[in-house]
Amino acid sequence: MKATLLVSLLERDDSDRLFAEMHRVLRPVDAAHLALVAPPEPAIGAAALQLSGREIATVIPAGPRRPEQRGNAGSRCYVWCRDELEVEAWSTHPAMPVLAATVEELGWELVRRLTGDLRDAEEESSLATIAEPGSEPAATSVADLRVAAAGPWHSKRSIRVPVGRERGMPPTPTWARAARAEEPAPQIVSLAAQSSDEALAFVDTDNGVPGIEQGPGGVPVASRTAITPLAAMAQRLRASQAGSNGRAQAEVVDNTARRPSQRGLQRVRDLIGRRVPMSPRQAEPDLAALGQALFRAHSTLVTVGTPKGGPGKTTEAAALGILGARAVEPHGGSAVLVDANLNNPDAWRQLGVPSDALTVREVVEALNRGTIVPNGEFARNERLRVLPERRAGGVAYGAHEIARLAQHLRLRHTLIAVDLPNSLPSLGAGPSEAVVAHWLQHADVAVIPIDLGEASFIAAGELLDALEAMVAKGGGAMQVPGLVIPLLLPPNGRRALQLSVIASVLDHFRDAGAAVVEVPYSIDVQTASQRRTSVVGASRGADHGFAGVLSAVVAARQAQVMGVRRG
Amino acid sequence: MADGPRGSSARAEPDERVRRLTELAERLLGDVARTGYGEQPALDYLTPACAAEVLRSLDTCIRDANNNVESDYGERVAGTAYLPEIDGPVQVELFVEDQSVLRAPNGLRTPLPPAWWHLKLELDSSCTRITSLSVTTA
Repeated sequence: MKATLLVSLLERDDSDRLFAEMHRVLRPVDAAHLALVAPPEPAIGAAALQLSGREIATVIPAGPRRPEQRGNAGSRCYVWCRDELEVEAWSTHPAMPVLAATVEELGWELVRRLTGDLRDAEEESSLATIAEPGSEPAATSVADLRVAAAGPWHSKRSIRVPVGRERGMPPTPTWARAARAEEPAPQIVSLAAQSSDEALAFVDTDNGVPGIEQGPGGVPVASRTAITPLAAMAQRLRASQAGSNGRAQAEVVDNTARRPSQRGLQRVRDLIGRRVPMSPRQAEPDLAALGQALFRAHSTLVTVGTPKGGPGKTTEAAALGILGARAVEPHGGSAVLVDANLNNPDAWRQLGVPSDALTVREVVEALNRGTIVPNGEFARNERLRVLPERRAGGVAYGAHEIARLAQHLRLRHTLIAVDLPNSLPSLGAGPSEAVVAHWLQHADVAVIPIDLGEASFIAAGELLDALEAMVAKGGGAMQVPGLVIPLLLPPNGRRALQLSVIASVLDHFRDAGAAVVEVPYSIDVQTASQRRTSVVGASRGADHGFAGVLSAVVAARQAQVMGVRRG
Repeated sequence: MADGPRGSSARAEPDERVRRLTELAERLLGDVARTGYGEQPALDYLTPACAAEVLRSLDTCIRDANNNVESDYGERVAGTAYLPEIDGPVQVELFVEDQSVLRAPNGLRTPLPPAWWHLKLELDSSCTRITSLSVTTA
């Protein structure tokens, strides 16, 4: 591994925290090849951006000032972006944006990239080298180099080592605290692979890594598996301990026999969620920044619909409304949820909307009469209103009615989320198909939820085709809406993404300009309404997914406002 | 609510018990995950016999300064607690997703086979100590 010099041009405090975090998580073997340098003032080190060759890597904050593009100098520059909007803004620049909500996450991400964890070929070519480790004796310690190069102010300042993990999370590894265990390595337990799936789970091979061996034809096999702590416990701990005298009583565990009786017991279901991720996977979207972007766009009308029922359409719409309201609230904006699902108007029950709430039909009739239109029902938040649909049948809307309603809502709300029926848009079919077509005419962003089922993929494709036909038929009168496709993933569902047929369809969606966002789904989200709780907050993973959908919606809306054509 | 030494009056309120057992379950999962880094947790919230058995079982896990099993058992956990209406042990079931990765000496991270584990815990009536623990595949 070649040595790398990373120059931080962030603010002094940020540089301190970044280096502290990187030093904390770097393995000693990597620390010997990575030198971290921060000039006393960022401006002094700006010359590093203009050095030719591949000798140096820099990290700079995302901001209006951008490094000049001289040759491939910009490609050696990491840009700290706090949200996807900044990533989008830097996407056309040769510098590499790094999405991280905090300095600590940025440190993790830079370590992962600089030490080769996740780097791809393009990124690898941009890594800077100053010398081979053997020829550069000074580059043997991150701490030494940092203090020596940056001046005495570094050593005088009290660097706050961030606590990246709360209680309940594994602490910093021993080697990361410069206290390597000297005990001899124990014998690695061998455990044969239980199934072919286990062997497939190994995505990388290295003969030096315990647990991975090359099988016939170079295929990695799990002939020697490094077992995890819980696997070790499961191997041995099939005996339960009991008894007031503290003696262990061996007992073979039988799942069916030991299942607790429901009689006389109060069953409490609770989700014990993780508070802080152990390793940064994806930065949390910044709701405040998203709200600001939504507010700048004045109003954003988002339709949520797919011809296929079941992929969480109404849940997505509800989550969009709830998160959108939270995002725009600090800026004085508001959000509204519109139930246009004529087939199943009971869906908004999960938002706790009373049965006598003002309906879409009543608002439309008031607009038709030209009378004062009352506001909709509040839901959960004073910045979130809900317009449910009338439960009685026979509801149908004309194009002018939807146009008037859309204009009315745009003037009053920053975000309008519309839950569509499970139908394809068609003006010549029934009322559900017509209302889908009417709303899509006014959509800034179309959210098309899918799950892993084939029917769901086909339905999304049909809707994309129908949208394309509508735009072509409109002759320029209809703007192509931004496209966001939330992919509902059950537990362990990510494994399905490795299937080539699914990956190719998702690529097809992306080629059509859609942003595909994974939304982990769990029973806790599905049963949120039964538990009288919000769909947002039921599951950390789902929350992250919902926020990702909102972030993608905002990005699509911004691209639309800026006139950026999708690929 | 103050807890007495024993008897039905000493039983904590359900919400308080849920809070305590949730905290104990989080501590247990966090401590177990730490062993992948070669650390030996105290497990002082388990009965001595139970803690000793757990630590013996964890001895089979990799302990190597150059290789670490990075686990995070707090990421995806579903828990169910069975709270008796009268005094008695509290039983807790945890379903834990195991997406541990192996950190090799060269820094590469290699995913280990994903798995789900079913942990059955038994706590005392006031949910202050884990008295029994078993782990099976889910």
